Amino acid sequence: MNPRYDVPVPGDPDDGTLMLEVREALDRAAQLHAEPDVDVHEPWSLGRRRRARKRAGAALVAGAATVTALAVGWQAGLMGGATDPTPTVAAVPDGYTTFVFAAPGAPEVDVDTVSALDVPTAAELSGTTWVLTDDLWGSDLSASQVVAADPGTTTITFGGDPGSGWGFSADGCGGGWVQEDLSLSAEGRFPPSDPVSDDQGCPQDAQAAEDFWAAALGGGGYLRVLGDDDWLLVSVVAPTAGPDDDEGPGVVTVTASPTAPAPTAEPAPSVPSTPAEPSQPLPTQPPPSPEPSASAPPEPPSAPTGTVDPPDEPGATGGGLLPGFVPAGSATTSAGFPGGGALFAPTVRAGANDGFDRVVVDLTGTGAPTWRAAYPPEPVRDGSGLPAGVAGDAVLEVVITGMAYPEPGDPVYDGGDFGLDTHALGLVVEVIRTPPFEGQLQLFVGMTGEPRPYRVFLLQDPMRLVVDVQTAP
Amino acid sequence: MVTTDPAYSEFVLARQGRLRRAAYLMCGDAAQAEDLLQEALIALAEKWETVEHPDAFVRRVIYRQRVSWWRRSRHELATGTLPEGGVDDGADVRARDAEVHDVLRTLPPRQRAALVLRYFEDLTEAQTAEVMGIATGTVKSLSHQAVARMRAELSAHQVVEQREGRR
Repeated sequence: MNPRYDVPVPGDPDDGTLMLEVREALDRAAQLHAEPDVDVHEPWSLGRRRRARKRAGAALVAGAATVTALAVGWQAGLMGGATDPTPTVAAVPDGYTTFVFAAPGAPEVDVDTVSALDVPTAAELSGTTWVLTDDLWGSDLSASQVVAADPGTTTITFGGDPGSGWGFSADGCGGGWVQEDLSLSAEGRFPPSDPVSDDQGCPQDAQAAEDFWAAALGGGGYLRVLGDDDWLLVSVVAPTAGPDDDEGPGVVTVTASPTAPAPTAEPAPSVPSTPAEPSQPLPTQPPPSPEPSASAPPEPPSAPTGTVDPPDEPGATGGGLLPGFVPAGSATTSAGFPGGGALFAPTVRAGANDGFDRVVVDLTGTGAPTWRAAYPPEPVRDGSGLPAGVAGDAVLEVVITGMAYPEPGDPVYDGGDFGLDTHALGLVVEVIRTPPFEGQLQLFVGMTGEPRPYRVFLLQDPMRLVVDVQTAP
Repeated sequence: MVTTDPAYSEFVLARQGRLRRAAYLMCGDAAQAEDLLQEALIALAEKWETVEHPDAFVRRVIYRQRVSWWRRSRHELATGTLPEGGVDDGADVRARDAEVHDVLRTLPPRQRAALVLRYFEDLTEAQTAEVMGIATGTVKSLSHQAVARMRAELSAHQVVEQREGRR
């Protein structure tokens, strides 16, 4: 027995009978009154949704994941009216606005009765999601007044893995992601950053909120936690310019295809119609003329529905096809399928356009992908044969070939599935890109209602595969 | 809308009781144990495709989450009545269990976790070390201390009880 741990008790602590006594005591003490069955669906859907929110992060090199769990000494005190000068949580300088975010399931915050604040560590916040409440800390204004928009739910999420960064989401649509992991000083200060927007052409309020939070969080600020992990206080400098259409002060809003010219003037549905006869499978590479970035905001109506497409095949849903679209009942296969390549598909984006929902698979690496698209009756995952698990009544499956295996240590597919919750779009409700299996991966596009006409085509500079699902009747 | 993976359902339904009880022993609060379990199951769903050993994964999340709450809530060391009390069934058993919880409460967090993992979850020292992210030797000493303390405290309790004429 190691003398350091020698506690005067009779007998040898590893003696069988005595251990039995400990085991029995533990077993007894572990009895619970109520042992209800877990509602399996709830944690599953919460977990899947949380995963879907973790966007761009997975594509990053996890080089500088040096956030150390600092042993922050326990400190309690009042912020704002800090009456007790010793040791309190460092006061937030003037000019900051403190928003209150609640943990899921937290009780209503009554800011007047809570007195214990704590500085969290980045490690403690990792993997958590917080929902904005309308209360402002120490102010009579409401959050929606300050943000000047009420987009529904605004959340802040801290990635759970090293290198997964952190970010915010407004109404499940507008959002921004800081690609570096959160770093917090002992005072709870986080440094300025450039949140990358995953601009998708959201409703106006979500857009305004996105601009606000990108500017506010991008400027740096302070984090506090309150109660028993129930609330997160976020102190930031509210951008004064208010929510413009474009960048707020000090923000860099970058879409995933930064070179994209604004597509607003172009009637988007005409994009691939030039190279493709409507009733035929699309050729491999339509000329990358007008930019169909997923960030296309809702465009002014440009009469997209008046199409001249008689070849309604069985399986097509009633109405006309947009130019370049094929009926839902037909499968399309690109020339040379299945081709090789050394490609990566780190991110997927989606956006609503006039007449169709657009999903964009960003591609890096070398080679060119080939693909096959169809609506399978029962979408399953290659390899495992398990159901795809994608939301929606109908699921368009696009198999994309030419995928490379990542080098050891490359975190590109560490997140597993790349998911987008796209309920804000017209019909597409969820998009999942699986990690590659034997050189190909699957893109599942789940939508409400019957299978819709679609088109798939490739664009270059930067290379990306575009999947459009027709929403026009 | 999202279909729950059948393998996930199967795992959760099969293991929920055991995991919930382990969480309960670690935190001593039925409601908090429920939260710990729920949080861990959400994390599991999030990583489902990549998790090789769901059992170990869930245990690790429960332990780490618990550690983070400990760190956070040092000011409000729960003492006194057990939160799950209220239903009156078997007061004697209740008193004995309360004792065990009292003793557990006096243990430092890591000792307590090591004790629960080793002697309730029946993990090996190596498995315990993996869950806690510490060396096997540390597990050895932590669980040794915990067992010694627990036995000392339990026998002390019994002495007091006898002296007071309770059973």
